[in-house]
Order: sequence, then C-alpha cells, then structure tokens
Amino acid sequence: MGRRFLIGVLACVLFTAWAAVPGGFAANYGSQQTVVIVGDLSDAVTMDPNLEYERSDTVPAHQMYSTLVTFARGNLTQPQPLVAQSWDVSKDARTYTFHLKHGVVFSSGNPLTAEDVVYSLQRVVNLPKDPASWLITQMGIDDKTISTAIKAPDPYTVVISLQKPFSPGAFLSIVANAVASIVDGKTVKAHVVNNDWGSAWLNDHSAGSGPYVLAKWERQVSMELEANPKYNLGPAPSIKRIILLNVMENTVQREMLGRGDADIAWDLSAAQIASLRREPKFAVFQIPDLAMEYLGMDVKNVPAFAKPGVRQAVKYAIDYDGIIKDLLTGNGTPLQGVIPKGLFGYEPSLPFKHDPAKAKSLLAEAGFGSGFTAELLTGTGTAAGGISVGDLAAKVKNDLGAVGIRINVRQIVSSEMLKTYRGQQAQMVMLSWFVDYPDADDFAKPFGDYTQKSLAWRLNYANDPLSKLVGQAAEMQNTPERAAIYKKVNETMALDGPFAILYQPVISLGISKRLQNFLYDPVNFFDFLSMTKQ
Amino acid sequence: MNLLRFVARRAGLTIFVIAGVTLITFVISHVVPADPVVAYLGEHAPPDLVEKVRHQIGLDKPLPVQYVIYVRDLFHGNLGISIMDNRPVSRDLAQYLPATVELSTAAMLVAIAIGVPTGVVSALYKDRWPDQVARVFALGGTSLPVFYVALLLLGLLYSKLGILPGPGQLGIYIQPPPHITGMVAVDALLSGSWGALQDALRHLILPAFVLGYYSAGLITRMTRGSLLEVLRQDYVRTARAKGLAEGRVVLRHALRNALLPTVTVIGLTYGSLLSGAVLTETIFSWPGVGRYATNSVISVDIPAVLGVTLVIAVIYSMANLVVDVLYAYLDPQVRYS
Repeated sequence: MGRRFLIGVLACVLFTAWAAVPGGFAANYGSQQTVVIVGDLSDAVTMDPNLEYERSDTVPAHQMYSTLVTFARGNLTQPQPLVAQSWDVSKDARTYTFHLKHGVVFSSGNPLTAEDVVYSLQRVVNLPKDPASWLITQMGIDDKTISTAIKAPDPYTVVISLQKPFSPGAFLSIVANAVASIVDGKTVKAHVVNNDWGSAWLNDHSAGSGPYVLAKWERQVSMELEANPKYNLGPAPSIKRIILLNVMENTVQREMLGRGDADIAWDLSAAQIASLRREPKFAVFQIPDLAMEYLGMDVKNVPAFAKPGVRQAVKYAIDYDGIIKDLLTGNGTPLQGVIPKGLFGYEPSLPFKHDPAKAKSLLAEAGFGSGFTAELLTGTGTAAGGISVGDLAAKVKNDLGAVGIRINVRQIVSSEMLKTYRGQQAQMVMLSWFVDYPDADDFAKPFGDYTQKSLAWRLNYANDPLSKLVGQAAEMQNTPERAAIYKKVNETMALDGPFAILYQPVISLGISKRLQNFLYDPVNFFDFLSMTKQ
Repeated sequence: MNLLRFVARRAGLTIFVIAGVTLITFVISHVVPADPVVAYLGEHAPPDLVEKVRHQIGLDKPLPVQYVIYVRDLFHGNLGISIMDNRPVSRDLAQYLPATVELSTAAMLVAIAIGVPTGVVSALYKDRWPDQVARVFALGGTSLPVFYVALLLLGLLYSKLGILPGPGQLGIYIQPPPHITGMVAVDALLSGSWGALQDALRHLILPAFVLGYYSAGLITRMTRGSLLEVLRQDYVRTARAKGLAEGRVVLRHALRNALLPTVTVIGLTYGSLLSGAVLTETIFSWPGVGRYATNSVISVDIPAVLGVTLVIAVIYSMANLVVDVLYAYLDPQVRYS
C-alpha cells in the first residue's frame, strides 16, 4: 500500500514537472515575420468577403482580397488605383467605366479579369442573409437589375451603369469597401454546394488577389493569414504571418502585450492606454475614429422634445469637455456636426458650450421651466472610445438633471434596445454610429434624411428641406458646392436636429515598439504591407 | 436486470424532461423583446433588408408553425442553422463541446485531487490548524468569484512571473495536433505529438485550477463532514479495536462510505461545470460551449440557444443518471425501485 502510494505520487510529480517545462516546436515563420493582434473578435461571423460587414471579419478580407480602387492610409478622400488602373465617370455621374490592370493573378494562379468583378458583385446581391448587401443595393443594383447594370465588354473593362446619379465620392468609397472584394470566379464556382455561391467553402479558404491567404479560421478562437506567394499587385510584405486572436477580456489583452505574446492590443480601455504610455517598450497609436457617440431625442414620444428650443437646451446642458477630459481621458475629440473629422464635409465649429443657465432659460422659454422627465435607453458594455456606457449615461443624467430634465436611464442589451428604437418607440437614446463607407453621404443620410428610414426617422424627426439638401449632395462630386450644402446641413442639424453629438471617439491601440512603420485607419484598418518587425 | 429496467425507465422520463425544456426555451426565446434579425444585421441595415432576411430565416411564420418545423427537424437530427454564423448548430456544438469537456474534466480531476485529500486531512485534524487552513481554503473556493481568481492567477503566474502560458489552448508557434476528438491534449496524446501535448497541458493548468477550485471547495466540505460522521460509527471503532493501522481504517473502512455524498456533489458539479464555465472560458479565451451559449443569447441566435439548451439538458440528465447508478454500486443498501 505504502509503496504503491509513493510510486503514484512520484509519477504525478514527474509528469507535472515534464508538463511544466516549456517545449514544442515552431511553425514555419518566426517571431520577426509574425504579427499577433489580440482583440475582441467575437463579431467575426464569416470569411466570405462579399458577406463581410463587422470589424473583425473586414480586417482579414482587406488582406486576402483586392478591390477595384482603394484608399491610401491617412487619406480617405482620394481613391487610389488597385485592380483598376484608371476609371472614367460620365458627366451625369451614372456610368462608371473601370480599366483593369493586366496580369493581376489570384492566389490560385488564375488571371483576374472583368468577369471576376461581375461575378463578385453578383454574389453580393444574390447571397442570402447578406448584412452588407445594402451598400450595393442602395445604388439601385439588385438581383434583378444587376445583369443590365454591370457589364464586362472585354476582359479588362467593367462598366457599371446606375439608374440615377450617385456621388462619385460615395460610389468609389463603396467600391473600395470589403464587400466589393473581387473573388476568383473560377475557383469559387468549382466549390458551390446547394446553390450557396461557394460561401461555405470560402469560410475556410480564400480565393483572392491580396497579399495574404487564409491559413486557418477557427471560429471564436483565431484567424491566421499567410503571405500569398503569387501576390503581384505590389512588393511582397515583410510580415509573412498574421494571427488575430480572440481575447475578449482587455486585462488579458494588456498582459499578453506586456509578455510579448501579442504585438497589438486592439481594445484597451482608456485607463489602460494611459498607463501604457509610461512604459518604454510600448507605443500608443491614436487616430480619430469615423464614428460618434450621440444622444437622440424623440420629437413625438416626448412632447417637450417637439420644441426646437428644448432640443437646444439639451445641447447646452451637456458638459462636453468634462466627458472628454474626465471620462475618455483623451480617447475622444470634440464633434458637434454630423460628419466626423477625417471626411469631406466635416464641420469643425462647436456651436454649443456647457451653459446650464442658457439651457434653463431656453427651457423656460419653451414652457418647460419646471423641467420634465424622459427615459434614456442605452446599451450595455462599452460606449465609443472604450468607456463604460453606464458611466457615460450617469454623466448625461447628471448634466441634464442640473437644468431640470430628469432622466431615467434604462440599460438593456443592444438587440432589445434596437428593436424599440427602430420601431420608433424610444423616448431618448444614447449610442454610437460608425462609418460604412468613407463619404459624407454615409452620415448625412441617416442623420438628416428621414426618408431613408434610419436615425432621423427612428426619432420621428421629419424635415423636408433638410432631406432635399442631403439628397442633392448625395449626387454631387466633392466640389465647393457640395461642401456648402453639407455646411448648411450641419447648421440645420445643430439648431434644429434631434441629436446632441457628444464626441468623436479616438481609436487607441497599444503596440509593441518592435513594430515599425505602423499604419492604421478606421476604414481599411491595418497596413501590413508597409509594416516591419524587429 | 433491475439495473437495466431502472436505466430504461429513467431514460424514458428524460425524454419528457427534454421535450419540456425545448418547448419552454423555444417559447421564451421567441417572446423576448429583442429582434434576432436586427441583432444579426446590425444597426445600420435598412428596414426592407431586415424584412427580407426575416423571411429568409423563416421568422415571419406563426410561432406554432415554427415550433412544428423545429421539432420535425429535431427528429431528423437537425438542430437548425445558426443565424449568426450560417452553420448548422450541430457543427458549432461539435466544435465547441470538446473544448468544454476537456476543460471541465481537467477541472473535475483537479477538484477531486485537491478536494478529497483536503477533506480527509481536515476531518482527521478536526479543529486543529490543518483543519483551519483547509476550511479557509474551501471557503475561498466556494465564495471567491471565478473571474477574480482567474485574473489574479493570470496576472501573477503568467503576466508577472511568466511561469505558465497565457490564454488559449495552444501556443501560436506550436504545430497543432491532427483533429481526432477535438480535445487538443487528447488529440496530441493519441497522435503522439509530444511537444503539442506538453504545451496543451501547460495551457490547461490555470483554467482547470480556476474552474476546479470552486468544486474543490464543495468537495472538501462534503468529504470533511461525512467523514467526521462515519468516523464516529461503531464499525470504525471495531476496526480500530481489531488493531488495524489508522491509515487502513480511514482509507479502507471510513472513506469508502464517507464518499457517498461526495459522489453526488461530484456528479452534479460536473454537469454544471460543462454548462457554467462561461467566465473561465471568456478570460482564458477557451473556445468552449459556455462562451458559445453566451454569445448566442446576446445575439438572440434562437437555433443556437435551443441547441445549447438541449445538449446541456441531456448532459445534466446523464450526470444525474450516472450518479444514481454509482450510488447503488457504492452502497448496496440503495435499491433501484
């Protein structure tokens, strides 16, 4: 008995000792050629680029696939050639002709031709349950019209004809979106099962002409990309392997960065970013996000909000500087127009300052001198800029309470909140809005044009002259006239609109100083082509 | 024979339990004030796209019709298609369940390995310092929040000291073993990938301890309590009077009988470990079914929620059945009737 017990204990100790010593063997690429990104990737639901809409699946899509045009990092107003070497826009902004580069190949070795472009866009409008399809269908291209709207007269020309004019700025920025990625038609068609347009196969394989190919996607765990040896749209990247790890807890992201197990931490809190600045081994990369956190007031469900004076009073009651300085600690920048900094049409002026006295007098003028009560609906988790929604809601409640507007905060999961909000049933909401395609139209429409059935409509705010202005600007090129219209839109929204824009968030990434030439923007995300690692 | 009849009857009852569970979950998940289609498409999707997709998923049909379709598919072994990732729920579960089974089994082993000896020591040294230490340890297990222990240990052993690896099942520079069971450590063992096995086990240590600590606390308390009771019994006095060595008295005569209630605790905790490892899985980036369930609930992915509930109901029923059978094996006085 005693001896057997001793042998057992000894075996356990030896086994534990063996297991506790680091070991194993390495994969093909070493640490200098590998970049590891940790972030909350639970929103990644597909690797099929024509279905991609969420942040976490768009990142790999931009690396595995090419689009007709693209944006250089840091310049989201001027599209650059990628697969198309040039393009012509007809005077009425309805016909776009793209001239493709010769010799571009997919990772399979197949040449990229105009037919592949047509096939890829067909996928977007035909794939069932496509969350990103509306980006294309809003231009009047759907499963019925596509055969006449998009044509390939020869292997290197694509002609897209729209039924009505669409701003070239907006059009080209949609064509640069991941949803318009060009897939290798020949390869994908060979893997179609049950009319699924090859979608199931594309979840585990890539068929693009980008600098990387999909090595592995383990759902909810990791995405691994490896350099595409056939890539010929530019020089080969020095980073050969990209690993995105789903680490939902930001404390753990911070620890992995600290131990050198991760090179980039994507979702650190404002407080973690502040502490990271004091450490010599790490850098903090910051860029304004093309997004905003806003307060929406329903002009029908709350009688007080029907008065423009009350809406203005709310805008004067908010302590914008306090939110940015104390809550966001630098992870936000002031914004009061509806088009964020970084886009054409951005309005830098800040008409509202924290002025409780003025807010009170506006309320009294409108006949609400003794205040009123409203319910503020908001989500759980984090608000734009990585701060707690609860903290921000408490601050807003406090600021509005100071002028007599009593707020009951109701924090619920976003799917429930959206149902109420989209059903025009909310009283007041606080949430964020982010970019789909980098053009002023992407913001002006939801905020200003109620006929779009988006944000303004959800708050029962109908303003016909404003809708007309937004529609007019949508069809224009980026000219001084278009700028003038957006200036007017911003003015009207500030004076009359149902939105109090609280701030524009700043994206803050914690990165290892081993990474050089780090570039990132809120639309195309990481630039792995220029990146190197020591 | 008795045993067979008992198992058959219990299995029959289980079917009713599971049918009830599916009906209740189905109704609850359809009446919650949240819209699965909006949750899937995101806030920006225009209303006509929302309605189109609602139709494509079949959520525009009347509720009873949807339930009939669901049950019909279930009889064909089809758990439906996840709204979020467009994959059969059965494939999702086949991916996430093995990771949870691996973690929960490791945690259970840790809990037994720590809990039973600690409970024995605690009982033998009642009210002396080893007992006090053991009781504080057990109290910590049952009362400290899992996420707190997890972050604390990760911060110390991984971040500060670097003794153990960080989150995940395998290091990124380790060649993963071929997929056999889906449990990384088991697959590494079966395929003889020793490097991967070693790395997988190192990755298991922290989450298994964190998850097992809670159960270890329960097992310690249960073992201590029942051993104390057994040690007062006449047959223990008789065994001592016969002149048997104290170790033999405790391990052979007392412990076997004292373990009976502990087995119940172990069985039921194993069931709850399988379904309740959400926090541990989230913090350690462990791709298990707990996290899948949470994501499914947040995104109102009804087929996925139903699939997870069904599987967990089956697991719970099985754990209960095993406990009952084991009970009778350990104690001949228990009869299957």
